[in-house]
Amino acid sequence: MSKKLQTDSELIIEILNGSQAAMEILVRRHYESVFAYVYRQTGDYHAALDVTQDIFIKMMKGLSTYREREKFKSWLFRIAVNCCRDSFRCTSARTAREVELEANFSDGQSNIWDIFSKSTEREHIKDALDSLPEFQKEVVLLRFYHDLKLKEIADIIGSGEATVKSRLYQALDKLKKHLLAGEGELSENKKPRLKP
Amino acid sequence: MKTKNPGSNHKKIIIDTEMTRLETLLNRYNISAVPHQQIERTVESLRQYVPKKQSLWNRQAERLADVLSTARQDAPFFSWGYWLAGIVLFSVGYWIITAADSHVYAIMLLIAPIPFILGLLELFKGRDTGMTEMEMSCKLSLREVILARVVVIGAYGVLLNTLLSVFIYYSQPGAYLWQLTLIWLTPFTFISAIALYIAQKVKSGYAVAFFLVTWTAAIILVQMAGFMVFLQTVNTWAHLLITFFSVIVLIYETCKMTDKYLLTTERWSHCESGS
Repeated sequence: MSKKLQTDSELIIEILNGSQAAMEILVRRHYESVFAYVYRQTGDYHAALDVTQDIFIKMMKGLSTYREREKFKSWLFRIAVNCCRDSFRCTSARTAREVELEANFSDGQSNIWDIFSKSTEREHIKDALDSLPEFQKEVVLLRFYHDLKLKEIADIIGSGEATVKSRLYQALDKLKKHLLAGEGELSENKKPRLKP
Repeated sequence: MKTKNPGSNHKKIIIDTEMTRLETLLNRYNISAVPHQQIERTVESLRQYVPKKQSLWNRQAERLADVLSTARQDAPFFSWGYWLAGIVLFSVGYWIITAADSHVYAIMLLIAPIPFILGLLELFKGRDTGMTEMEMSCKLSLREVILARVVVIGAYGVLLNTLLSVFIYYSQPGAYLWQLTLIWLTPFTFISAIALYIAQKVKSGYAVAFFLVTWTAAIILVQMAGFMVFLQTVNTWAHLLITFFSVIVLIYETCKMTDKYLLTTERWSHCESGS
């Protein structure tokens, strides 16, 4: 007999009643999704881990203010979006030297992770996404990688649905130019070169 | 990743094939799984933020205090007609009993469950007027509001019936408070339980009208057929047994009703967790 999967709200009630196990389940359920959003936003493995941890700390601190009427995923992503915005402000203030130092001291695990993540095609898509302004990029990420509806995205980023639609359109137009225009060029590069 | 178009207007600029190609490309920017140890580290760092476990007794006491506090806040939003109807009904009941000097049990039996039945109109006001969505957007969850309203209408019914019993006890020589209490408590809980069940199935206005008519007709028939004397001689344990089961049904129906509203607001949570 299969055990009924607890809903997020049920887990939250248990957490507020002091259940460590419920907290573990809730965090594990959403960790990958939140991390993926943050990583695509920051593009930095270590920074993404730190920001993800901050997001979950903020989630735990604000859990008593969560109301059942809202989808938990949307509530959590609102925290994630705000944390990423704050993180951007901090990151832009950091010097290139600091970033370089951090890169030199990165552990082996993250290097392997980075090697995997740096395939040419992925880099190309990443560059295209990075070329978008922050407010357009977050809409694209929430819509295409996290399966959220326009209304939900509007609630998360605190804008109107029409604004979200417009940002999404502008972003897709830019991505089209960036990714699809370069496709022919990309396939040309993939052709084996003949030795002179 | 699912195929989706951002909006119908956008199709004019980004054609479907381009959209599909874009989606395919974006889909290739996948993120590999985070090492298990990293998630563990986060979980460990979050343990300090989990509230300390409370005993079951403390938890229930806290929950009860919350419901009572919500009930106190919600009571002023009840229609004044509801409060007035209860007071008028019981005043008239008391006047008939003292003036006519008879039918004490019949009158008490008749009016005992009416405050709760009328309260159903207030309980389901949001649902019947299509305001549930708006109530959901309030600071309190609909579940808390519904529970609080059940407490308010239940408490109002108990208060009116108790006051009537006390007044009759002091004004009518030979009346027993214990017997008077049993006379109102049994129909109050029994009819309230059935009414709450029915009101969830149909519009509360219909349920209230149905109960007012059938209950009044039933009491008149009982009175005419001479069964009132029989009812007064029913064993105390039978009264208590009916009351006990009625209270169980009332609690069950209240829980079922609040769970229904919880499920309504949690549709998304069910979807996202895949259950």
